[in-house]
Amino acid sequence: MWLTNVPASTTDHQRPPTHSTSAPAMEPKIIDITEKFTAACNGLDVGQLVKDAVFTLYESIGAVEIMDPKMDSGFLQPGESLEDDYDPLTRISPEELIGIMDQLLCYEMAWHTGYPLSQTLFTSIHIDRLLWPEAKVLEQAQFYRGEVEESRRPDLLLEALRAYCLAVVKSCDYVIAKITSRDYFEEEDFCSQTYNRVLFVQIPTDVFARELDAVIEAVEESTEIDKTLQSAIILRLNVRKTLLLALDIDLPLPYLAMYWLPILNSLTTIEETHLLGKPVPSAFSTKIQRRLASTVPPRPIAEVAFKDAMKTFRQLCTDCQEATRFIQIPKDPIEYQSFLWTFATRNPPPLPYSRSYLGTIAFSPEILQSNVPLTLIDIESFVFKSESKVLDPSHRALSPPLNPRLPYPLGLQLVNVIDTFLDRVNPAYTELWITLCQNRCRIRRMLIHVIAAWDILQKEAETADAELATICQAMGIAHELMDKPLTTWVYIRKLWMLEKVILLGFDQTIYRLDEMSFMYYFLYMVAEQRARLLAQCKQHVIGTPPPSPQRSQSPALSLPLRPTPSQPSSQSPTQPVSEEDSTLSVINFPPTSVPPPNFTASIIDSTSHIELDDSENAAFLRNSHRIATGTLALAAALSRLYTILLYLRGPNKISPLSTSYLRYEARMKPFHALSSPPTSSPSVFENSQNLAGGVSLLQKAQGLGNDVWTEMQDATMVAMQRLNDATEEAAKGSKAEGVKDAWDAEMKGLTETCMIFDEIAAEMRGRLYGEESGEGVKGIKVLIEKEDGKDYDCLGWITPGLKWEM
Amino acid sequence: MHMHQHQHHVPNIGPPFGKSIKNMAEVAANPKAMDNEQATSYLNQFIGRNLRIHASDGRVFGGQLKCTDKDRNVILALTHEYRAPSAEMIKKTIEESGNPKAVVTWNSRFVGLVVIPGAHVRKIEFEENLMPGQKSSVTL
Repeated sequence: MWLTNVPASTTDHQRPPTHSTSAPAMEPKIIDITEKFTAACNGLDVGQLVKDAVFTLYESIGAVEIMDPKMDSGFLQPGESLEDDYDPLTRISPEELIGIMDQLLCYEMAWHTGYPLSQTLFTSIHIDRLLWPEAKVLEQAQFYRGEVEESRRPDLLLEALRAYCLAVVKSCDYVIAKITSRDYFEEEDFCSQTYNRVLFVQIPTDVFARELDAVIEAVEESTEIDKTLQSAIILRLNVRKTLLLALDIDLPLPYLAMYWLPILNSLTTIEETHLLGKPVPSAFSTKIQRRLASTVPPRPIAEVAFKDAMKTFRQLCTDCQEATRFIQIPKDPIEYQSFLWTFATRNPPPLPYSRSYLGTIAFSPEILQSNVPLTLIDIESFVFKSESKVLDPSHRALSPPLNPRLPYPLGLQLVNVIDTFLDRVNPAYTELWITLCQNRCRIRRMLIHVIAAWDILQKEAETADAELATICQAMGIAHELMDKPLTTWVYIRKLWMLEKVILLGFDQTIYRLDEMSFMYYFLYMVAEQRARLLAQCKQHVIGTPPPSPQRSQSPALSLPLRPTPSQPSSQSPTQPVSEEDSTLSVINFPPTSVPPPNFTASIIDSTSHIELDDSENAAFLRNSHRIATGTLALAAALSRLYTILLYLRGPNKISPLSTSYLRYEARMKPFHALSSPPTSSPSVFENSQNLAGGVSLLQKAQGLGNDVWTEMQDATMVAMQRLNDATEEAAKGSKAEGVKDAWDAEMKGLTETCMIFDEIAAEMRGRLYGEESGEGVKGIKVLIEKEDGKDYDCLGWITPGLKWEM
Repeated sequence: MHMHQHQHHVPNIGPPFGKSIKNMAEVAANPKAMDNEQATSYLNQFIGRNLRIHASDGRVFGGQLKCTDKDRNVILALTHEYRAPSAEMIKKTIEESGNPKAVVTWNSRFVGLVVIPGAHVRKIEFEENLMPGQKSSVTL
């Protein structure tokens, strides 16, 4: 390139005198141009820029201003020096060794919780010295470089610290490798920045393990160290070694669970022996940050108390240990999903590393590869009878006709339709799993996008369903096919996600008090829709229960399903209602100012129909339906309660500049684009807000009549009953066997919420309507506080705390 | 690439036309003073070339000139920061090696795009890599 340019550049320029001497090849010439440069600058006009043609103002904003103490990380305050006073070859006592090791652990955990390395581990002068200048081989990674006189060579304790530090660094390498291999959000979840330091990427685990083994042996043999200190040091070295092995990214799945438990078992001893250590604050410095390739000035070291660090460490190990169970749970996509969801909603929320750890397992070939695709198993569990002829594997053995003009055999056509659909499902399904491995705030936001993808999938499913129906008709197995099975499946899955989005919104206290009413109403609507679809699936898969007179009155609803909250129940309350039908009329939200029809009290009496089909899928559908019904009943009741509270507080107390309807519009925005369920209709909002037609004051609320209260309490009863039934079927029935304990806790939490709700409703009823109502209730204060340390786990179900003003 | 780009920046060295009397007087009073056209041409030839700016605190910044102005503010791209080793460091190295001529390296790190305020510019150096016999492409 430059050769061709040589003649071009040798124009008749004046040769600068400094260039007259012949220099060796490519020797850079340095010419002082200060004077002329300054003179030239003086010659410029004010505001005139001499600049690169492609250099923009926008780019210039990114420049770091040198000598600005807030921007220039190399700017030294007067008297400040760049070098640290601490010499890493300084002899340390065994107590100090323990102190430094524990401090390193604190920083490592701070890093896990989101601080950058520069403010945590990279403040260690020992680690800095090991990493910089970069060592070509591990032997070079010492606290000194080059030669050092014999008397200053590291002694046993420094060697132990070196082995420990090396393992810490390698642990970081593995953690970064694991987290960055999965989807994560830089600086939101985790800082993977290593500031151009290479964390021994190329060196395998066993090298570090050997270093640790060697010093462990040496410390064991040493007679100079106090016995208690000796065992404390050995314990720390051993735990570090185990942790390193556990973090190894190449560890095969079957070995994953080997290491976390031993670490967990040692943590208490580490905590107990922490006091033996003596901190060495001078071994850590913010000044190292100035030498890291970074454009931010030094920030303070992230100080984390040892107690908190151990808490984080324990949580990390527990979560990872829990994640390893993913391999052992029943091989079923719904079990997997239950596990992922439960893991994501664990309290405290799992650290980014634990989530990546689980993600790696969940997306490993061992899990994803199966004879029948996971997605098909998922579909089968909802909408196909067991051993359905539609999915008969023998269809796959059919051969296409030799004559390309002849149609494919029908069985093969079926296989093609299903396989093509599965191919479309795969990306959406993967997205869902990826989303479930994110942090909880992200799950909520990303799920909305996943739902949009499933919405598109639902349209494609309709096409596939039409094809399936035609082929099955031709094959004479139409009775094996429920109405629009694939669409139903996609819709059920989509509604499940919607429910979770709403519940996560409550969990993250996104909704304000006046929004709760319509958000719970929306949840009710979604759950109701899901329950309805599940009822259809149940009917197809398990078979029709003995026909009752009501059944003929409520024909099976066809897709696309529309919510019919305004449709008053056609059943008379005195008639017995089957479980499926009951879902349609748990609460009747009034369409207009007509007082709500009586809540179907009979639901309480309707004992759940005992189905004889005890297959896994039958149990699953039964339980899913129960939980969906429980959810819708509880959501309906809560929606009512919050509406009443809204009325009691009087109109527009919240903000003069916004109305509940505007906020409703804003909340619903992401869901408006969906083809189903319909959200745009204002009746959704009105239904949630109208009690019995426009009452809006305390007096009116007092005059609401018994129905509202009865209705709410009945709804809770239904919810409790359904949840109890579900609990009896147990986690296995819900395909949550893998997370049995968490599932039980969730059911318990939901039941508990029902009970709390019941108490609140009874209290309000008494105060406003009952005999005590004459005592002059002037107002009411509603407190929504997330209780910490609740003994049950109940994500997204918020019961209000009430304070009466007399 | 640089060479090509540079063709556009070859300064016009011919006698400037249209100089005002005032400007002439200025030049006469201060031989180093340049008129706007000269100044622009002179500075333009360094755009995209490597400069070393010595800052008021002793650090040296080496990078490509992107932009400058009347106040001698300088924007450098792909910049490295160089810092002389401290006296203590030099002393230590000499003591350890026993050689008074021991080499002590400067600390350097990459800092990227920086702006050095004119007030902190102490010295500007032009860094040129030339093949033997190759003529400089800038007019100094």
